[in-house]
Amino acid sequence: MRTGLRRFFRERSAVVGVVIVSVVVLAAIFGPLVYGVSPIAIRHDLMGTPQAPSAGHLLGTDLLGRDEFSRALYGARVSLTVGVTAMLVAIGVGTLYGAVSGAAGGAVDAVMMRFVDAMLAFPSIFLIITVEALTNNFALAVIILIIGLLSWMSVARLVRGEVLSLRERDFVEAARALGASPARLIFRHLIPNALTPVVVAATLAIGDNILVEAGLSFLGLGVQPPMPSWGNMLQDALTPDARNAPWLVVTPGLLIVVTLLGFSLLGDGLQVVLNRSIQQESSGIDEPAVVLSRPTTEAAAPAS
Amino acid sequence: MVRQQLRSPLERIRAGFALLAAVATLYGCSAANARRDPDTIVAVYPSDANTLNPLFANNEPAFLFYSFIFEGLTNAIGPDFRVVPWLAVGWKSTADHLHWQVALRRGVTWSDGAPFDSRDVVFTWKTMLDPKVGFPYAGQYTYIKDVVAEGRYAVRFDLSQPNVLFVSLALGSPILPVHILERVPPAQLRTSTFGQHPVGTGPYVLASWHHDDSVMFARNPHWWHGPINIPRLDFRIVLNNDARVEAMVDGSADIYTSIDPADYRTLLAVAPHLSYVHLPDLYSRFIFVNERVPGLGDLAVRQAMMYGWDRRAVVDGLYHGDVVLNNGIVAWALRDWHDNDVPQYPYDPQKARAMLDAAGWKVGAGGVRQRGNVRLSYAIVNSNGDALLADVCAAFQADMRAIGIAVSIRNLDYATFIDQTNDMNYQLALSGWGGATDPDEYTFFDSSQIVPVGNNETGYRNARVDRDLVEGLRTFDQKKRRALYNDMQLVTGETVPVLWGFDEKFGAAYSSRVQLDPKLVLPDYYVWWNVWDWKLAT
Amino acid sequence: MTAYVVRRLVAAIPLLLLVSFISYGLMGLAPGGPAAILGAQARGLTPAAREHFIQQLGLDKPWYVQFFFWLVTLVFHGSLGNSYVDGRPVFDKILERMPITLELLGLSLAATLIVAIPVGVHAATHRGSWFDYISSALGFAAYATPVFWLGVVLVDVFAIHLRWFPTSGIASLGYEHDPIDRLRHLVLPVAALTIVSFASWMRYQRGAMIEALQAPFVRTARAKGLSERLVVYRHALRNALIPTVTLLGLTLPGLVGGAYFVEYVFSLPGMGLLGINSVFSRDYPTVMGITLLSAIVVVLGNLFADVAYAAVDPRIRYD
Repeated sequence: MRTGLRRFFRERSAVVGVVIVSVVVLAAIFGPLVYGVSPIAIRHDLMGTPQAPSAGHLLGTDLLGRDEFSRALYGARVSLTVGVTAMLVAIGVGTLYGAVSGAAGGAVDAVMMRFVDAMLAFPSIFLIITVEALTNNFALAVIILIIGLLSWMSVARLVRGEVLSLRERDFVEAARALGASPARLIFRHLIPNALTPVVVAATLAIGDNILVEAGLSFLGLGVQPPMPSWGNMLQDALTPDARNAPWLVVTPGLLIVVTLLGFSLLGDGLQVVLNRSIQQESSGIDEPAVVLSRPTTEAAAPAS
Repeated sequence: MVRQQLRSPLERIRAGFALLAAVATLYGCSAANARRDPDTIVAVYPSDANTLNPLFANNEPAFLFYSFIFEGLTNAIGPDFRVVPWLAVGWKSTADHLHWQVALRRGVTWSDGAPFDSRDVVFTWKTMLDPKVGFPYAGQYTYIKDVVAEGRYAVRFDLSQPNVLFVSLALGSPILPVHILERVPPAQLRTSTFGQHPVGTGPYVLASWHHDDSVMFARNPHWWHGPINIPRLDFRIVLNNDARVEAMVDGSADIYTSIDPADYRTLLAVAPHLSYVHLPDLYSRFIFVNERVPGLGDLAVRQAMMYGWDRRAVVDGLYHGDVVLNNGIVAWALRDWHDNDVPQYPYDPQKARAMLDAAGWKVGAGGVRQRGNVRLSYAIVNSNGDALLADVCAAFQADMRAIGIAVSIRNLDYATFIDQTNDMNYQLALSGWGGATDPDEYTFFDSSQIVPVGNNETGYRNARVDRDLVEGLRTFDQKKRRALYNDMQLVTGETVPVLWGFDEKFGAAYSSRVQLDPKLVLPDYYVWWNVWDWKLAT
Repeated sequence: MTAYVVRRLVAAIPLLLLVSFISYGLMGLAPGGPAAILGAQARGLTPAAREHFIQQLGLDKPWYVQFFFWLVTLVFHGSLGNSYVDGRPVFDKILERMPITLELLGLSLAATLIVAIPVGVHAATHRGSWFDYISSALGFAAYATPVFWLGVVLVDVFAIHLRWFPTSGIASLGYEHDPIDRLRHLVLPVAALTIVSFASWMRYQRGAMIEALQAPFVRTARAKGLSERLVVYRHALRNALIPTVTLLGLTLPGLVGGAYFVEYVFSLPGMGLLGINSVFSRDYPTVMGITLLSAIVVVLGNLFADVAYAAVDPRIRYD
């Protein structure tokens, strides 16, 4: 009975995640088309005096008299684009890196993993600021690349772990015995089998990337105005003048929270659904969604 | 406290981690002392000095703090920045203004008791001009050929060309103590501990310095100028705007200078019991225009941008009227020199469009004007970190779009921003200029000073302005000099080397504990110029 | 065990070298070098003075040569060099800032554990209850919250409107040595950091506890007729803490990053604020020092997690 309830709840939470994500995605795609107000049109007469939400401006106006609702809709486009494409970059790089490292094994694996350790040991905030300053180009594509290229490490570890465990499985042994080339092994056998945790990681990474973009914007290094992103809307709301306009702070923040919540729930649900280890599931281990990999430092694995 | 010198790196690391364990007890040991010291005036300041060594000071608090400790041979004081003898008692020059004899004040001592004399002056100038030292402003003094001691209390300066600013600027440079610094190799002056433990001749000495926390000054009992009323100045570094306002409201601080416009309004509303000062600052905001960029070299385009930019909306809306429109390079605060008899550029998008049409810039694809294969499409760079400035850019962008000029915004981090503007590697830049107490803008506007030679970051060239600026620097007659600078302001006003913006306003608030003459207050950090005359109410 | 720790520490050296090398390389390529370091002074600089300044700081050499000199200074003089901005030793600058960062990290870690472990245990022992659902939902929501936004909201609500806590900084003027005042300043920053990090601990603890409760030895204990209380807290919890301890190593990088953001939002003069400002002013030696120390903290955190793992779980031995 209890298990049934729990399962129901879990599934329902996944459903909630699906609903949230769908609404955000649909709003991003169709919202701007339906709601025909410009997100960048400035009202000289409203400059400096943000208007509270009203029938005319559903979420009020910002310091430049721009319609906040329209900015939120366009911001969803930008934030989702950053989240999804940066995720694709990270998954691509991380999967390839992890698969090669795991498949190669031995010294190559050790060296490649040390590099991952080094990348993970950075205070990533400095790394990102430095790289941003370095490229000094705030084009959307550059921001996406930077976020993607600095977040592939956990995926690489994940894939490597899967590959290591798969390597010893029967069908891989069989393929190897049949004379399959290493590249073929990686692409035809190892990667497809490691896909399950990667899909879960990918879902969660979208949310994380939206968060990173918001953080960069908070420091003034994110998507450049007037193109709205939820991050730079939040930064706009930090001027002292916005103190009397709480909706400017609340709107982008809540949008980020709700969207991330959606992706977290979805990822968590996917994990349950896709988890091939039925035994593990029934034994009640549920991996926290936020810590994708169990203790992964090499030496942390208990010596048996 | 924890700042003692530790020996080996291992010991240091161990000490660092020991702190973690000791954290609970570390701050519990000394008793709370919330009572206000009746002899100390507490000022809140938004950032800390990088060093108190005048040679390497690079931010506003550094300039201010060292001015309490170090003094020049002359001093520009009072509401009109009048130059008066300070560590010098007088000077005279040859008729060609190339040789200056400066008589030094007797009986002045350094705060450690050593006497001040001509050796200090000669040493200071040799140091500033020594390339090994790396004094960043050495370039301003290339006209000084030699500095020679003529006895213990006289110094002779030999110049290669006359310079009006010699007495105010060069002689105003802070003098350094030879008896302390002669032991430091020139190349090591930058990292010398002198920057943390300065010794000067000024009204105050450094009493204690906890970096990014507090800088405490105690009055110099032997100051040559006379007695000082306030025994101690405590500058508290409070990074957060709200916290500074809070400290003023609850009375834990006595004075807050250079207040941000929005905070000034807040404070004014919630703390009517404080006294306030509000005057035009020496700093102006302009949009720099790189004239090397195709299209921006066209005067019609720059003038159209002036007419098409609704500066009034920015001033009234974003700044709530706390800034003043400016149409020239000389700030309103320089009352003696500012000339408002120049073109005013009221907001007139119709006129802007007509001017562009007349100059052959026709609206093309995407509503962007073009002539031949040059499109009026530019990027404006802005130093990030200030959301208000980002909004100014966004408003500018919208205004320009309305007259057919496409502008994209790039908020750069400060370092990159400075680099790009210094190298003229930009198209438009929202930047600031000012701080000088003299109308001379030779390095900014003269055509010989285009970067990398000087600070002409716009590539502006105008023969008449060149003449005014060069003449202005060697015209010792005040009336003729004023005429030259009025002409300079008129010509630059018409030819728009930068898009004229607005002068910021200097705001300060102080409690009833501080007694000062509001009529004598100067903007910027000059507000402290007569601190020795201030009194502390009991 | 000692041999293991030593081996791990030795293995960390090439890792730290790699970290330093990569970050030096990145900074070496960044624009806005000397001019940014000079700040307000940059505008008075003649080309000759600029050249000279670049030489003085060694910035005229390729970055890998600079890195080599940096390394030599570190190894043979035990020095992280001097800051470009104020000429002071980097180590002194960091040491001044370190207590605040450690305090922030330590307090929020403690608060996280105090909240997350009991909640996780309770949720595990009451699976499917409303408590379980609600704590899980709150956990998801907290995890989804950007720490800087949370900081801004906390300040707006609790400092500006309710006036319960100060807006920022580490001490009120005149209360510099008052521990109570200091704690009041730390409440909001610690709360922000705790809220965003407790979710992972709670969920992890819950999972581990559920697993432990179904382990054979717990069933044995129950069969022996021990009270449920004893079973849960003596037997199951002890085992369930094992995997949770390892989480420390894993979450540390994120926690340090979060702490730096929190310092920025609350203007706490810790290592993070110093680091961010140093990146912006291109003070490479300071950035290097902080990067290196942060990496050391992460490495030590991992090591601590592994050692703690062995300490709480007698089944694990390192040799």
